Amino acid sequence: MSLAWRSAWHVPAWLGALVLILCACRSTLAVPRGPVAAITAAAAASASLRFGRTEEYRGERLYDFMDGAAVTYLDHHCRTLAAADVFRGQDQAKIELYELASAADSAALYAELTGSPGTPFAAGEAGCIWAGFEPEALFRRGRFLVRLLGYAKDREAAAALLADVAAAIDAQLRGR
Amino acid sequence: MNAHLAKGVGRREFLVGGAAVLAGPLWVPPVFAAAGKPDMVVVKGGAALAPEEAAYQRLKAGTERLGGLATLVKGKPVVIKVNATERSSQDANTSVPAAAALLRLCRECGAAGLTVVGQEWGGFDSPRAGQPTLRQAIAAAGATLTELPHYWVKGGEAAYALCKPQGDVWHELYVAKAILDPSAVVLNLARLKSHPHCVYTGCIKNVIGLTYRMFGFHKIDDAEWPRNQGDPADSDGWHVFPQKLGLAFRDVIGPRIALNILDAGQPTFGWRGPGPERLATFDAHTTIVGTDALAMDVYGCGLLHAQRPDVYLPALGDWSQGPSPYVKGNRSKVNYLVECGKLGVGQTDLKKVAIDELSLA
Repeated sequence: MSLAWRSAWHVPAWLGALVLILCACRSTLAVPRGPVAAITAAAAASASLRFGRTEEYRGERLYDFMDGAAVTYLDHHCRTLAAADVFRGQDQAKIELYELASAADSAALYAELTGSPGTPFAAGEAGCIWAGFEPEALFRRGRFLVRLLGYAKDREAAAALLADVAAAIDAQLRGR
Repeated sequence: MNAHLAKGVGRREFLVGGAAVLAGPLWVPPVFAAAGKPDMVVVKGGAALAPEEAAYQRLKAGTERLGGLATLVKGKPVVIKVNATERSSQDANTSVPAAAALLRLCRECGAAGLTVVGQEWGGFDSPRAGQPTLRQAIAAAGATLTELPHYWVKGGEAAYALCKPQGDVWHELYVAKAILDPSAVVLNLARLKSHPHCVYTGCIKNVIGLTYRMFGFHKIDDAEWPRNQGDPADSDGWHVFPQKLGLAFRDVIGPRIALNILDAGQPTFGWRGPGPERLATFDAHTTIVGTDALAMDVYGCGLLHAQRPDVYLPALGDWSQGPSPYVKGNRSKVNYLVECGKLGVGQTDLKKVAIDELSLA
């Protein structure tokens, strides 16, 4: 075996490893981790739902979205809010997807916001729904917290829409 | 008539400085506070009517008791401040029926023009299935909607004028020029509701949406750009919030308001909390009109307390003690209505306020 071959035999192995690393990086980079990306991905994966434009509010810009009410969220280290409207026929829902600094922050904010009795809501790691004039659902997964509101003449239809929107969003939050 | 109005506003130190120079008298003659007229009219009823018609009938009855809205608005441009702070639920904003009723009555009374004005937070487009938004109701009435620019909008300060209340808590208080126009009749149409961080919001707090740097009400240096970056400690001025609000209202904005209207058709609890509280309304079928915004707020806060005395706080009570979530959420740790009373914003002792209570036939 020549010296040249002996020194070059491992090149294909290195190239293969490089290809694997690049593929891994590509797949990682292809899945943005933020809340806007989660809503965008949910919209792409949900044929029956029509998503409106997603707005992003980072850091102190949360005040721009909700004025003084933002203090509660900032108390729990809210980093970014992504907000969007979603439609199915005449029915509408609003999505507020909050990314907090940690899962512990999300759990603490969820606990504060769900202090009043509600009905369990099957989404995320914990969820709750309240039957107001417009039903409101709240669930958390990891460092994310999601608030949904439904607008429909029929409250059952609004609740059903919230369940479907929650499933679509929740599917995109897993692993982020 | 309450003492505040009897004294008039001419004695107030009211300076308009900087580049924004406004000419003419900066107060509206207190037409409705004339001798023999009540300070406040509380009109109840209309449960059997459609909400908009009920709101209209209550408003008409109330203003007629005060002398008729035409005496105030006929032939004059009218500027209306509603509450449109919440984009996700109409229950946290001035109700569409109340807004539509006021616009309709102003039209019938010969107002020369109608403009709804405010720095708001998406509430004009807050949806409700099968019902119009505030924006749609305003457009349907042929009124103009002027959305005041937020503080981060470049050049936005041009819509506001620098004003100087008494004292030194305010560094720079910018107020909407639209309400400082001496020819305009300003009507303050507030929703009766709870507030997550200061317990209550009604007539007085509603005017914050007529100012440029709204954050400045709970920030010591209101002229400094907010830099919360996720840290609410930057809101370092909650302890001066009552004083800032009281002085801004007493010296600058309140004197420009010709009539306050408290929309209590369906008062609201739990807007954005605090904590365990959830958004909920109850049917009160009530409209309150008057010239003393503070007295009206004391009355309105009392309505909320009467509805849920176990949870909600009394209007003139201690807002720093007790198990209520509203105490926990109260950032200033004081009762801002009481503090406003101490500043002479209006009357807090309702025994000294001439109140007429009417019921729709």
